[in-house]
Amino acid sequence: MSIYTFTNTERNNKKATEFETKSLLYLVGFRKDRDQVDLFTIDCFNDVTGIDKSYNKLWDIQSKNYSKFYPKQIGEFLFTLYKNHISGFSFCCLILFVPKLNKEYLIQESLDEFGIDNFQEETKLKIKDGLIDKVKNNIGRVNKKDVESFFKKIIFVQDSKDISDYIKRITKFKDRKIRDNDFYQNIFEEIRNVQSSKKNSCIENEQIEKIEDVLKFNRHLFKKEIYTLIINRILGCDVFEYKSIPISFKNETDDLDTEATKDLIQDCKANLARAFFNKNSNPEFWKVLEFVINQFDIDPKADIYKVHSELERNINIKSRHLDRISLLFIISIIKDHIYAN
Amino acid sequence: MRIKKIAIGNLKEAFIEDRLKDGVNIIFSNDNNKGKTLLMQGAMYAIGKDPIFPESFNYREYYFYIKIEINKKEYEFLRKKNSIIVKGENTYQLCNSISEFKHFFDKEIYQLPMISKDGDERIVAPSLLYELFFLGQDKRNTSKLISAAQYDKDDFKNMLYSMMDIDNVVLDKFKERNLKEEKIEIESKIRSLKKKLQTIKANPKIAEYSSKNINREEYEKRKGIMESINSDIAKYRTEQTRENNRKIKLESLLLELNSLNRVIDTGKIKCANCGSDKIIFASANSEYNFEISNMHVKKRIIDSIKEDIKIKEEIIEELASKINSEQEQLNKEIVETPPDYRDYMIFGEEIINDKQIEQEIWEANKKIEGILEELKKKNEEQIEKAEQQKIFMRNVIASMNSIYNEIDENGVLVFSDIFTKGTETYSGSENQEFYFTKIVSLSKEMNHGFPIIVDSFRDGEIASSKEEKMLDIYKSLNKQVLLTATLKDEEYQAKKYEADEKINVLDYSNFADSKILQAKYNDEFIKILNKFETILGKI
Repeated sequence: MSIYTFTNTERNNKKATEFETKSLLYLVGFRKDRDQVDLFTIDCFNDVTGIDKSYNKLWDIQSKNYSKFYPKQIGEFLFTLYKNHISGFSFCCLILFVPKLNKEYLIQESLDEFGIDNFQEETKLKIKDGLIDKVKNNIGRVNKKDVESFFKKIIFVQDSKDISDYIKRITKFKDRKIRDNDFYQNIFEEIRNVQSSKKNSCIENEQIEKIEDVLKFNRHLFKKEIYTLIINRILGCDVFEYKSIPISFKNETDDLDTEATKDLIQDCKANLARAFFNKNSNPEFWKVLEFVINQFDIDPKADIYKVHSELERNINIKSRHLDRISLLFIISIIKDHIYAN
Repeated sequence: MRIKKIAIGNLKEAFIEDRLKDGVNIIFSNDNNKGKTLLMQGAMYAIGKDPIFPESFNYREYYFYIKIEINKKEYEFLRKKNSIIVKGENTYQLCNSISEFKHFFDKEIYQLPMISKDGDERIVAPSLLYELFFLGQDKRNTSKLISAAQYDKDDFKNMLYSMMDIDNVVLDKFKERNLKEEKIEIESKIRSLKKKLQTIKANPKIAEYSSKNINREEYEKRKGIMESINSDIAKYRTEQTRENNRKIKLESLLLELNSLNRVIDTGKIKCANCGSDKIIFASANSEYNFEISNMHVKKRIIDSIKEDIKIKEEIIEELASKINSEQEQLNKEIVETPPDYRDYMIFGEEIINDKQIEQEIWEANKKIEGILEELKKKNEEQIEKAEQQKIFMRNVIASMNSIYNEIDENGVLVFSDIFTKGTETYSGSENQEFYFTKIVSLSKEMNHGFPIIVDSFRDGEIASSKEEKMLDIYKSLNKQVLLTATLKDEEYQAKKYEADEKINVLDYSNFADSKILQAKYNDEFIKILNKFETILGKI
């Protein structure tokens, strides 16, 4: 049985945390195998570590935001990743997330993701030396085989994108609306703040035997929380902007004349606005949204009445603003305006 | 914007045109009365234009349908009378008035230009926008707008400026003085109307005398007309009340949300270690990491509600003006009523004059407020914009003159504005040339995304050589152009347009006179109506 001991957990300044958030969002949105990642731990195994649903695989990211790197330094930064590589836990992917590197180090400078072979021969040797020296100093013994297999696995990712690109990329649906940068900036900061707040506890020298044990430290964030956050912000920003009636809602308005329909829609929107403003209904409304989004993730064409009855069966909704008709309206908007795109 | 399909009809007869393509389309026939104009006007009517149909065609009995592509999205519109249903990919919307349609169109489909009117910034009615690219066959007058009755030439120009982002109204120095004089005039008119009412009230015997001498049948007819106007007024009043209730509800929602939003300002909690004010309370089993909303979301909600309130205000105002015009109609009916029916008249005048007076005072005050507001807004930036406007207009006019010279080398006209002076008279072909150069120049200079639609594009006996040049220019625009023409027999025999591959020709000659709407299209038309089935009953 392997035991994992948490060491070097830390700290931080704004620039570094921003970069860590980017590395987290890279894992959510840009990797080919992103669908397998289900949750993230913050500053446990490494700055950010993705974990799959069955707690078997780990995607490990070390992020370093320096304006200048020397090849040897790059090698030193690989140390935590190397340590994880030789731990008994199965890290399927090891990533060093860095800003644009010096062009002269690289063979193909335009690549954003690459292995060690994309470095010029001289640079490559210096990187290897950097790691080996660090291993010598910290562990003492250097296992050549381990170092070789590590360099076969390690991936370097250069960050070349804006904050908004990271957020846009992870919206699963196509959000056609043009939104200002503030919108994306705000979401990014919210994720960053939550990420930083995860570091407020101390777990130095704690040990775990299984990957899932990491949950007890509450230093994790589920991917679906990030999806829900973004859909929630779109819904909040747009609720009064939607001038048309979602087609799934038409059963509710069929028997009404135009004037009564207008009254009904306005009442539903008002209730939705109240839910967004009322802090007391926070966890409840969040649960509702997460549930509804999950239903449409499974089937984007799900019937709104079915979704609603499932919702009532699973969640005990107490807020008087979230009445049947307002819930049906929210479900219809999520289905027709957000998922239909 | 591209037109993909046009249809007109009801359950008895219909016509569908779905052969339109990109580039130049010519719909022609060898004789008049084949339905070309009906199709053109019908298409524009479906997207909110004011109706201009021949007297003999009772457009109120028909549905008008159009499918367009705008900003890469498809929309279908179905209009009957003043109700329009708009169908998007996953949504539908019923608009019960053109004003409502206008706001919906502006928000969801295409942002309409704003102009300053009576001191308020308002989005323009669809009819004014359509003057930019649509030229109907009837009511042409180069010195005026053709449709869009509530607007004038300046409004049109302001709309162009707004679309070019150089909008700004340069105030007329005399406007304020004129309006003030107008107010004094109206006030004195009110005094005299009040006197008149008093006189009638003071002599009830007049009514008693006259009721004995009335013709029952004629009396009932007039009574019927007036009752129907009164019932319309009552309907508009109800609508107005409901809109007002909605507005009040939104206003109290704003108050409620603001109170939920209040930040406790007695002090702040801070982290003693790092000084951060981002303290998160972590309950033992906290499942949720994020807040349900952030300041950005809250601000957007508040702003949208405020905007909704503004729209409601405009709708309420529009209803007030409808009530006013119905009352004017009632007043007119009463004036035309023979003296024998004076008892009715007394009853009628009492309502009318009170309301009319209030309305007129309100309107006059509103106008003056508007002017003062406009004056306040004037600043240096406006002067700069005025300069840009001049440059823009100069470019348009230069383009008009150059296009004119291109099609008519020997032409003697020199255009100095996009509208002619009332005193200038043009011959038929000159008229056509003027409109042609204007519609093409505006399209070129503004690079607007709308098609060009000209009903009867050779109106006024345009010479063949000129026509060819005009068609070449239309083709060079690389956009959808819809033209109609009635061909002379020899032209028709010679298959005038068929030879040109770049023109999509649609021959309407085979339709019987005034019978474009036919039973054979009914099934297809009903399929169209079925797309709107759930709300069709409401219009």
